[in-house]
Amino acid sequence: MVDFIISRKLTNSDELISRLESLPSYGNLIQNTDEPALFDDEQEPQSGLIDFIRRNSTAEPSTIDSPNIIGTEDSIEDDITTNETASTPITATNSADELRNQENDDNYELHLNLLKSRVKHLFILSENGKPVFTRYGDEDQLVTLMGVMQTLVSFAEIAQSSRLNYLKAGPCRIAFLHREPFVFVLVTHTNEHSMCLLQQLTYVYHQIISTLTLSRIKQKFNAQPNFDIRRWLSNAERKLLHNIIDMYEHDLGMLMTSARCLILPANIRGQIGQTVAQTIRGQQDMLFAIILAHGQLVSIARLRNYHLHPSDLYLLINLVNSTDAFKGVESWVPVCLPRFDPGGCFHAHISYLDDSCDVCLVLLTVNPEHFQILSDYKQVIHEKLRKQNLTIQIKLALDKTRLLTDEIACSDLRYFAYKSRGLSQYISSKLLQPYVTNEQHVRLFELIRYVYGRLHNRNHNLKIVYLKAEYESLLAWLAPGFELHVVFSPYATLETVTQCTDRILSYIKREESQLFIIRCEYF
Amino acid sequence: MTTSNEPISSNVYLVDYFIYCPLLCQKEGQEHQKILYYYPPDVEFNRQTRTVGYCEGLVKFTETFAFDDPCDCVHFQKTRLLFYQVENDICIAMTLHVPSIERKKDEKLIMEYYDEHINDRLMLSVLKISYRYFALEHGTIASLVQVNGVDQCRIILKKYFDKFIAYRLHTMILDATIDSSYFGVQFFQVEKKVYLKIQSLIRRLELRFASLKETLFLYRNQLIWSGLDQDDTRLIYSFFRVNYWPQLKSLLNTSTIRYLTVESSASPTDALLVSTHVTSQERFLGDLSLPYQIVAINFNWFTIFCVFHNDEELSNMAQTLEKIELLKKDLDEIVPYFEECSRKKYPATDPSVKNIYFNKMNMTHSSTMDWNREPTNNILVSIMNTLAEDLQWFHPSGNIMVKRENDPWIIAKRSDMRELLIMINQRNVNLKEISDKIKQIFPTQFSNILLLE
Repeated sequence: MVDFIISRKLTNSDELISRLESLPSYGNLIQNTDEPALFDDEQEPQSGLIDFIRRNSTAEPSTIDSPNIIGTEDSIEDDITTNETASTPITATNSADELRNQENDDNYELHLNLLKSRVKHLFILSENGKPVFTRYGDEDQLVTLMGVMQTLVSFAEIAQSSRLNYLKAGPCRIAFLHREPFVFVLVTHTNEHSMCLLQQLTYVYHQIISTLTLSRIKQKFNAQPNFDIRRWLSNAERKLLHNIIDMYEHDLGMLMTSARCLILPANIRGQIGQTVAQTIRGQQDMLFAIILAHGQLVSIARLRNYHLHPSDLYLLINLVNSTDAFKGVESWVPVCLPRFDPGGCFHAHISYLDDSCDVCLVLLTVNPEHFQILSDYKQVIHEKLRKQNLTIQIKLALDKTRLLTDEIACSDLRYFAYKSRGLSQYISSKLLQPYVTNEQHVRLFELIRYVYGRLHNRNHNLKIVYLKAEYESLLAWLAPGFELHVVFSPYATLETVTQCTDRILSYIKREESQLFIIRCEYF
Repeated sequence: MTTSNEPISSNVYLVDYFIYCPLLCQKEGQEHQKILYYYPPDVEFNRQTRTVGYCEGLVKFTETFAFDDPCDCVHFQKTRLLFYQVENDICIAMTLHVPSIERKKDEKLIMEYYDEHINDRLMLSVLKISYRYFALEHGTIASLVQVNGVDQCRIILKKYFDKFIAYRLHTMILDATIDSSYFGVQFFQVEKKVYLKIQSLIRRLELRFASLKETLFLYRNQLIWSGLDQDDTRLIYSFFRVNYWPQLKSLLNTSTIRYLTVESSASPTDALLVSTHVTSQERFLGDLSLPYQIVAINFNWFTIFCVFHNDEELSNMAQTLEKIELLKKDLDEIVPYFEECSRKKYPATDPSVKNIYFNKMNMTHSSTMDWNREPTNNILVSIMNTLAEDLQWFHPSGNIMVKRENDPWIIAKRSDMRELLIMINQRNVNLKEISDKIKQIFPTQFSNILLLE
């Protein structure tokens, strides 16, 4: 009996691969589209790229540029300083001090317990061991711990001229990332692949330099190695850090470095894209115009030859999602996109195209002086989209919650995520029972991350991973043109798995034009 | 992108190996007192102290987070550090060099390190067994310190480990495989009648000696009977496989009773000593607090380990010899059966299907992998190692199947305490044929194994 079960499984596993590859939709999907990619997830960041574009842009004589940039950077600093003074507590009297000491002791105890709880901790400290950020608790209580972390990292570098990557304690991991002038530490209780650990830490690193800019941070630390960078981290920046960590646990796009698009009929998406591109055409300082709806990409238009990296897009999405202030007014924010240029700074014009603040327009320029120009563009785009009823169409698409799983019609299918490797975009079905609670959602994605880690192990070059776990079965398939992750009930047979996978692929082929942004719009 | 097929300019090697006990340092400035053993010996004191201090720091640091398991592996870019707390407050650690390749990139030579070429699970098993072998011969380090004092203990450790590292550890690190990592037991299955005969001859032998505690009975390199508890059985068995068997199998089997001892400080080729006089060796078993005397008897392809409480009876050489010689008749009687068994042709197993099975419950281990003849391909071995490591976290059961382009399927399965790894290397064979072949293989090899879905 037993051998029968196993043999059936093996047979099916072999069957699986041959059948998967002979699927009618397989051939179509592995061919990359001829269109130039919207995103480029292989793209290497180029330091100084923004300066280069700025110098070359014909719109402004380059001579006035530099002082202007400094001017704006100063103004950010001013902004932050105001924030900081607001949050600095008023000096307390002596008796209050004693009271606080008592509180501190209690707090310390509280923090020791907090560290022992089974949550995913993330710490940021400066190279000289000063606390910068902790995901849980108050970093002021963790001065000693952060000091230890700093010692562990720097000892490896100095004494062994090596790098401390991560350590294992059973299934738990503590990962370290040293990126001048910070050290990032992640503590996780699930058997996560080192690649995912590094990816999470890198997102956090990128998040912190996207608002503070690497060059500015480095400059400050060079002049003042003991500088407490927290003076520059307002509550808004902290919120961004918290949210980027949360988002990683809830969004597979960050793992697969691919953007998620709003499902929209191709002609409507085309009209939106063209409207935006035509409005902006001719403007050399503007690089990207992005429309987002609830964190999903509606349309992206860009200057020829410049690509946006999906991980940079997630920083923008995080910025938009985390900042309620954008909802009231048009905003003008400096933002660094590290995969584009870690040394430079974009200026983002962020505004909403509808009253209920569902549809967000993000315009990115290298010219800090162009607020008015971009604001005018926004007005024009807003008007045109409204007149053509396109804003309404976006909102309709948002309201229509697409499950996707019901269109596949397979009772054992629970969830799938499909990434088009050529487009660097992904689509996923809606999470249904039993993954509707946060706990289950996070657990499922941890499992998918485990399978993903196996699939993407750089030495193994695996093509298929099929995991039968306690509560579900997972199939991961890496083909030349796409990557597919499917979650089934634990009772699904391999026949069901292949059949269902076939349906998913043909569905995606059929609906490709509305699931993905196939055509890129240029200014 | 590089693959493991490319030449590795430096393979994995042992950087250091050390034993320390933080309690031995009384005052600041005397940190080097913590160190009980350090290899290589030419590392300067300060550096030794720093390295040990760093390990302590790491362990303390991880304790902050109250993990269920202690920190045991640290991945550095260039090295891998592995720990094992062997006794209260005594730790063994070793550092391995991560395989690296020097390559040219943008006109500059850079060193690339292949972290995944060292499997933590395999290396931890090597580290753990290195201590167990020591303790088998010397007992616990703590009792050595207590009885002989710290300085004497350092001398004993040095004497043992210098040789152990030179003769054994380097090869153990390079030759570690999933099979070697289990330290499981391979059983020889015999008919009921023969089994009862063996039982009775063992009982009779035990009755002849008042101080004979337990016996282990082996045929060739497989176990038939052990009266010891599982842990000790496994230890003595693996010690036998490593130290006795490689030479024993090349000795002519005679029809006289011989006595075996192992000089573990000698090089592996000279380690086994064979004598016609009764010889015994002191070994620490159970809670490692008391030494036992072990007599290893060899006759034909049989090896019998007799565990004595003390050597009082054994000191009467002539009498002991006489008592043991009585075995000969009993053994002679069962020899034909075993010869028959080894002549018997087993249905040839399919060469394209390889499997490894381990049951944690009774330490049963079997394998059809031939790691020497199977330079199958490093990548497949590496995948199997990784999956075997993952199996630890499948709870209570789970199953993972992976496939590379044009390579065999690898299946790793865990069912509670049982682990099974299968590699099926068949191409251009239709599904029916594969499933039929597996159906043939299972009744011969896994007929008595329950694998729950």
